[in-house]
Amino acid sequence: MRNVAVVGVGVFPFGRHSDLLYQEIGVPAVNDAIEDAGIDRKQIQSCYAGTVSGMGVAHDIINECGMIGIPIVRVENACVSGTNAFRQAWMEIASGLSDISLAIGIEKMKDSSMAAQGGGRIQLEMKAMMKLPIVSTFSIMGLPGYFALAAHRHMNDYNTTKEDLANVTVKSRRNASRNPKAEFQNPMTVDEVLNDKMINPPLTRSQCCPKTDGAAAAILMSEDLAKKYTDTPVWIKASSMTSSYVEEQFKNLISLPNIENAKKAFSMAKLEPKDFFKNGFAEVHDCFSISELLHYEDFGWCKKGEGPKMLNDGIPEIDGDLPINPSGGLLSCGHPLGATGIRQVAEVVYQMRKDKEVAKRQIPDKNLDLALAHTMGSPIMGFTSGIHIFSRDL
Amino acid sequence: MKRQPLFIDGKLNAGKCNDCGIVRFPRRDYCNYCQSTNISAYGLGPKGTLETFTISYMKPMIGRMKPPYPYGVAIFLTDDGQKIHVIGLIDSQEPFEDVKIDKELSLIEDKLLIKFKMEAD
Repeated sequence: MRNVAVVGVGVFPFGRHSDLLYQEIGVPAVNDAIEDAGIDRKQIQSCYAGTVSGMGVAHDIINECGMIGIPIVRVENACVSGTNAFRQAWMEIASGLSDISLAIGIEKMKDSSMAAQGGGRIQLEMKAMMKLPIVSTFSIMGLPGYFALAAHRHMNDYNTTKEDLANVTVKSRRNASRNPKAEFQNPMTVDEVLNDKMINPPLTRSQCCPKTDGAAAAILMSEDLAKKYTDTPVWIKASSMTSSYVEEQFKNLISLPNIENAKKAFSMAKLEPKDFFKNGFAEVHDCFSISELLHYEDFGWCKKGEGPKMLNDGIPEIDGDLPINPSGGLLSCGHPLGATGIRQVAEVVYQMRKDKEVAKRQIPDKNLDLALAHTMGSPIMGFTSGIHIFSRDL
Repeated sequence: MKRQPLFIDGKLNAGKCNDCGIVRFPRRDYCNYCQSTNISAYGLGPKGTLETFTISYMKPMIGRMKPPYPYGVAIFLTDDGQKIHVIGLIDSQEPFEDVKIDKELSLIEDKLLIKFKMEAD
């Protein structure tokens, strides 16, 4: 396989964009990425767009951007859609099919129902679903529910407290207060998080990522071209995915199936979890407060049960030994399903390059050699996990 | 793919692989571990323990549950000690004080829903 680098990225601010069309939030992100990469748009040879709800949106964006005739593919894999679009673009170049590929992530969620976000499948199958025992049983549970179940067991087994969980949101908001493209930029205290509206005990509203509108884009290139277009390419060292079946998720709620994927990704990059300390940073899928703590543990960055301690010790802070979610993550940036995976890549690129975009939340140079970006999806319908590992040097 | 009833004789209708011995719930045509199609019905429960729980303060995506309602994951043991995790509603009234982690429970038979009844303290 060929070496692949990310050379350009763009992010349209996450938030509420009810008056804008998909292409009106997608085109600026794509144009920013093209300008950032310093290429002519005619050089792009393929496009993958991660979106759950946006049927045909990739074609609309590409048409608006003045690129005709290239393969355009919509990629849907729930919350991992953006990560998967990025992976497809990586595969295009690694395999030699394309030299320059565009990955887009885009979603509008503020004004839609869950059914619409699921591409209408839930509505289409409603009649059949209501008669199916196991599916109707899963339907009792919203998305926060799965993570609330994990949180309660974690609290029971490791004496994790409500405050430990709230601290994740406090860190997230603190970082996002330095990110003008995040949906929630207001700092919050532990008390404010705990006194917020209850969704699924122990998770209050601000411990759940919001439904958001947003878009992001990335330009990927082969090694030869990347070296020609930039002095600061961000290399993709690993692209890894796993899936599991529905029942498996309940087997060990506090050890999400990300464990297997992390092992796979670290092995592909010829790295170990400890290599990230004082050397790297990460953007992980903090869909709920408990999720981020579980990821610390499941990626091997601390022992099982010690996620809260790692946070309380300041390790995942921007100036800590292993900064995690410097952008504010899903909890504060918001989580437009397809856009999240590409927004994470943009954060990685901006940070590694010390771009003015992240001037107010810049991670110190010593921690910029390695980065990991991770999303996970559909925990109530079968599970999928996507990880990419990046490096500053090839 | 054949639709299976949820309960058989008051127990959950799980499947046991006759080749590798793995029990899965719900019952499916293939074993996920050895890909065998030699699967027999295996009754799970009716007694189990509550692994974890939460209470929903939101309406479900589909279904007619009215919040707040508790639900949880229960563990049912097979004869040979396999732990099978099953999610279900918990039959309890506010403030749900009887719902506690690691407490014993039993299944309530139903055509569509899995429901747990907490055992008395």
